Amino acid sequence: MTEQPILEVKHLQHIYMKGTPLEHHALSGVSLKINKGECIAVIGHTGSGKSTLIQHVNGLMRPQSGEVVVDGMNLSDPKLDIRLLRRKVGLVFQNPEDQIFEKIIGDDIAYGPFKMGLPIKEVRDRVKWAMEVVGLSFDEMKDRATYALSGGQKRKVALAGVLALRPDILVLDEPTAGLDPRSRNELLEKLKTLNEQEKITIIFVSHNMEEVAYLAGRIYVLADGRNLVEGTPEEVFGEADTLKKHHIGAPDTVEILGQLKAKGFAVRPNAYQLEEAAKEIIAVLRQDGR
Amino acid sequence: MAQPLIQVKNLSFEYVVNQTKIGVLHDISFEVSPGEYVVIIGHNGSGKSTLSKQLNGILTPVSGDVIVNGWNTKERSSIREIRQKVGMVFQHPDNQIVATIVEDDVAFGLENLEIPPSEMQERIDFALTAVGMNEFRNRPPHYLSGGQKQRVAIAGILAMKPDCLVLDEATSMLDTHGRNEILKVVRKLNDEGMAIISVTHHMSEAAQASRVIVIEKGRIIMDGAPHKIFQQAEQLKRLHLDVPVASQIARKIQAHYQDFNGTLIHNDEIIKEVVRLSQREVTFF
Repeated sequence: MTEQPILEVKHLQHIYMKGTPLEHHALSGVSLKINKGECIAVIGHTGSGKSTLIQHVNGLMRPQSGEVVVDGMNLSDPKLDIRLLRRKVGLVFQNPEDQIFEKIIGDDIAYGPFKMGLPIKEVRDRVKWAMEVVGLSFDEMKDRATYALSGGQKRKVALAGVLALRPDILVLDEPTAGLDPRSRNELLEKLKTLNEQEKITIIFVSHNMEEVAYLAGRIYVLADGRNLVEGTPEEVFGEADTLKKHHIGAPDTVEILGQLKAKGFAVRPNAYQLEEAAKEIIAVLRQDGR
Repeated sequence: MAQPLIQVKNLSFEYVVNQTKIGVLHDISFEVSPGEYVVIIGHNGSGKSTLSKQLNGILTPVSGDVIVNGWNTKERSSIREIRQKVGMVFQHPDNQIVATIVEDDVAFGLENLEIPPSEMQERIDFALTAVGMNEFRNRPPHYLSGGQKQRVAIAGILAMKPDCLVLDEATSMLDTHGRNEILKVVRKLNDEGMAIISVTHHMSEAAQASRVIVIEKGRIIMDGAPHKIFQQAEQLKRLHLDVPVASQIARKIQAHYQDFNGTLIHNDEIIKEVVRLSQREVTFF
């Protein structure tokens, strides 16, 4: 038997302010098929429908037309167990610091598991685990006040709060926007570990192509609420012209290589990793110098 | 000699939380001249946002002074003049958008300045065109995407034609394309003489400025041209910062190919350097 995808989206459409003069088509038939354990990036120009799409995954939005099936649960089903769905799918919003509402860090992270009715010992274990995963020391930080944290720390607390629910699928909207380079790298490493070791399926929206290149195993590119391109980072960044036409950037490495290729240098323009890109350029320089 | 637009003199600032004082900025001094393009970098919690809020009197110093065009930000009577000189765009546009229609939002500041309607229309056109949001002028802002909203917020400030634009991580919620568009607008405004002070986490953005200030624990620890600052990769890493991708590539290439200039920080410079090195050989072809 072939493996059932953990998330399948078929021809999903969504129209904001339907039937008014301001009607706006956010999604006009998007399809995704994501298997368990994958790490997927969804990219696209601002307004391409990325955020609208991922809000469907945990049932914040229900399909107006088309289908969303999460691990066998159809979101169009009127008798859908929404609590079960949200336990499966953890959604971290664009500014997750807005999700924090408790005064004390430990309380905030414990809120979800506590509401699930877990025994207090289990709640405590989960909070501890989640905090360690995002790089917050349980002993040092659990009793600290949430309002006195920096942006990056708040981001980690919010992520821990979602992780403590132990979701099978983690959905993140621009997870590193506004973080400094070190916090960004740390968070990316954590997400990679979660994906590879804890086998959590990750779907993230990002406009930072360096981060997409680092994290994603597969990329879906959206434009005007439709699928544009999909594939591995190498395949997608190989479509530089298509991306450019739809106002989607590429990593700086791909930009540089693309410009060199346009000038007639024999480089592979989709060698997106820093190390590989440098090798491509060195090879060109050595060849010409001979 | 041209008078500095903004003078920051021995500025210190602290937040008081539960009667405990938390020092955020310590004895900071610098000047910004008209037409300069300054980028402020520093890790989360280094005090850079707090510093930017001092520049048009949203926060005022606990000790020391901030002088904008001769006005001290502590004198609340001149706060309108100060804010007209120095406009500010924040990280989250939702905190800055007030009206229910894009056009009205851009007009909001102008109405407060009592600009005549005919000129108001002109300025709104200019500002919305500059940020590429003209076709959205009749949309309600809350149905725009994050990046689009940010462009509206920037337009609202541009319409007031300030001498200095302060951007507090204003591009961090935008995609690459959106960010490049804003940076293009910012560069154009700068070319036309507007001073820019931008707080950012994007090192490639910092590479475009004429000057980079690095903040750590509320103190200025580096201040200079981007080419100079980004040669100190090790120290920047220790400060949770980084160098532009172009700079990382340049170093890697130089390590294996010594003639390559390892101090480059822009993508364009890499291209030029490769062209230069491949053309200087007589044996080419």
